[in-house]
Amino acid sequence: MFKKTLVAAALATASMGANAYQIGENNDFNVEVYGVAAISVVSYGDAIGGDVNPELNKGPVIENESRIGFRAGKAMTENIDVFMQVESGYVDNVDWGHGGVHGGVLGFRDTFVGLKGDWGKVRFGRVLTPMYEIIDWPYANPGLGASWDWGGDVAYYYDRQSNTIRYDSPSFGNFNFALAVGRDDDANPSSQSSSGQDNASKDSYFYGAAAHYRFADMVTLHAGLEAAQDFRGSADVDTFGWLVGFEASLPAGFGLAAAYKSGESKDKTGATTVKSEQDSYSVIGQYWAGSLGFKLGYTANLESEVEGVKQSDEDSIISGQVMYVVNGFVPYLRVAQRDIIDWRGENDDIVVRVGLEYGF
Amino acid sequence: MLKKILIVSLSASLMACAANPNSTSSEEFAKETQIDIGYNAVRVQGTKVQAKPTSEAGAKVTAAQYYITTSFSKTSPAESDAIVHMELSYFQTTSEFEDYRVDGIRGKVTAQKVTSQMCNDNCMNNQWFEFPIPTATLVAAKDTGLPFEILVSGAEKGLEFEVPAAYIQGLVKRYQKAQQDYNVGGGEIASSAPAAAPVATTAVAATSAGAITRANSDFSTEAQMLQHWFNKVTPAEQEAFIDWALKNRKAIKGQAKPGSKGYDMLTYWFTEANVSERSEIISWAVENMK
Repeated sequence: MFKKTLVAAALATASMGANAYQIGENNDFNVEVYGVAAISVVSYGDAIGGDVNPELNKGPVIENESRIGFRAGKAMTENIDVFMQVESGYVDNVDWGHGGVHGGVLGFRDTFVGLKGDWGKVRFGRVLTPMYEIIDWPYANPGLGASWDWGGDVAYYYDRQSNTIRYDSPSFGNFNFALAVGRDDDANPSSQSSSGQDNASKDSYFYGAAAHYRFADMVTLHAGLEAAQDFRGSADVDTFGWLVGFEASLPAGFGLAAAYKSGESKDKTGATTVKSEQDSYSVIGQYWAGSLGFKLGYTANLESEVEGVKQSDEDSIISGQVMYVVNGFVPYLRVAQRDIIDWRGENDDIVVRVGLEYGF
Repeated sequence: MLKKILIVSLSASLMACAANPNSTSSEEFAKETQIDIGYNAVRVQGTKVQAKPTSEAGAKVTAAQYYITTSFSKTSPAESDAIVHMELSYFQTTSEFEDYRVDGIRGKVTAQKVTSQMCNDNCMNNQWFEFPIPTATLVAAKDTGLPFEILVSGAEKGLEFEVPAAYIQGLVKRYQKAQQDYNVGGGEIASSAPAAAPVATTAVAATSAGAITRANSDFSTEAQMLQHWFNKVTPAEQEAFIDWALKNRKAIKGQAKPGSKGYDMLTYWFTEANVSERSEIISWAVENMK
């Protein structure tokens, strides 16, 4: 009669998932492989070693920030989907904070198991903290991270963190928020695992939140907050930080984003409490003409203060980027002037990066 | 045996190519479209295409792809829904795209997978979702292309895309071809290649042996279908069809009352034919009444 069985079966599997990277046929758990290919040629100029360690200024290098990951998940009950992700780090990175583990190991980046439904989603494992997610995007792009992200002189927030439970709310009209609670992970080099999830330091906890509100279809407001007790496992060091920012899409392809963050770290280990604090801000303008984009960003860390005494360690970066979007590929060229004052002394120079990245 | 190989190789290549939709003809789209003749309906699945938004508000798109499936019910082919399956990547924002708007109707998209974020120097969001378009709306836009919009909930403007006219024509052509093969082959899928001269091997085909038909190449697909079904219905139905067709030859005033399957096919194909063809068809029908 109708030889439709084979046809129906073939079409059914082809059309069930929208993704071409599923592994195997009749893939009940929607297992898939994904990743990012990102390669760039970068010259840091003198910005790494500066005058203090000029031998660290090595000239142009190729940075391969490609990585791979796996996802799988399916509906458990009617309103709970279970999903998971295991992601490796950059293939040419080394995790010195966890004993020098090679960055390509699985579990280095966002790696978690989550539940999702109409009520939102919750993830358990290694994820970005809500406030750090905003710091990283959009305010650290293009190339502002060396000052705005990890370049501060007072550390008061986690970034990608294991031992975390994070809840992301669904959209309530124009508003959504995220909450997280977590602990440090024991960075003991002998643990040999890049996520170190089986160890935490006694009494080390952190709490984070972020909220986003969109209005007039054009402007989004962001706010973030993070507080930690025994920050990064350091006994008796408590931290607190907050961030406010906005993003606006202006007519004719222009966009503007700016944020201000401030934080403090209280060290109670000695006889007296020593409070260090630092403020930073970031301003980024962008313009898109079809698929060609231009970004210009400026960020500065104001001088940090220890017990009210200014430390003369201000940093700033001004950076410009040209990028093109084509079929999911993003080639870009970035030139940044970095002026960083840190333990290496005063480093300022021009960093040039040409790269290509795409997700698959 | 050949059929099985053909079908398996077609499905293997289904999602491998995403054409540049603006320079692809409807014939090429029709060739890449898959068909599944099911129990109650004929399912047509278009090929995946890369899409560029015609305008963007709310996010900057880095990649967008979609394919469309439609299901033509055998009993009432005019009523069905097409589904657009879309994959969207854009520079990260904190609001996901949750709404679609097509032909003035706005609704919620259905997520097929959990939205993912991928960060490097640039952070991207990836969404996979689907939404329905009434098949009638899709087919009505086959000469002009069909615009649709993807929006953040509560927003007035979002990402605008357009389904190319050639893509829709490809779907329709593939469906019509399948109908031809299905009918001419007497209920079997003869092959995906153009049908050879029909061979009356079944009882169904045998009853039409006495009918008069002109050479098939002189007629459009609609006319061929009409001839085929006209020869199959009862004389009473032939008369009823001619009555209805006369009243609706300049413009279809309303759906015909449903009758037997053959009668429904007649009214459907008559609706599909263009105005100049309809008069010719009516003349032919009157000449060939039983």
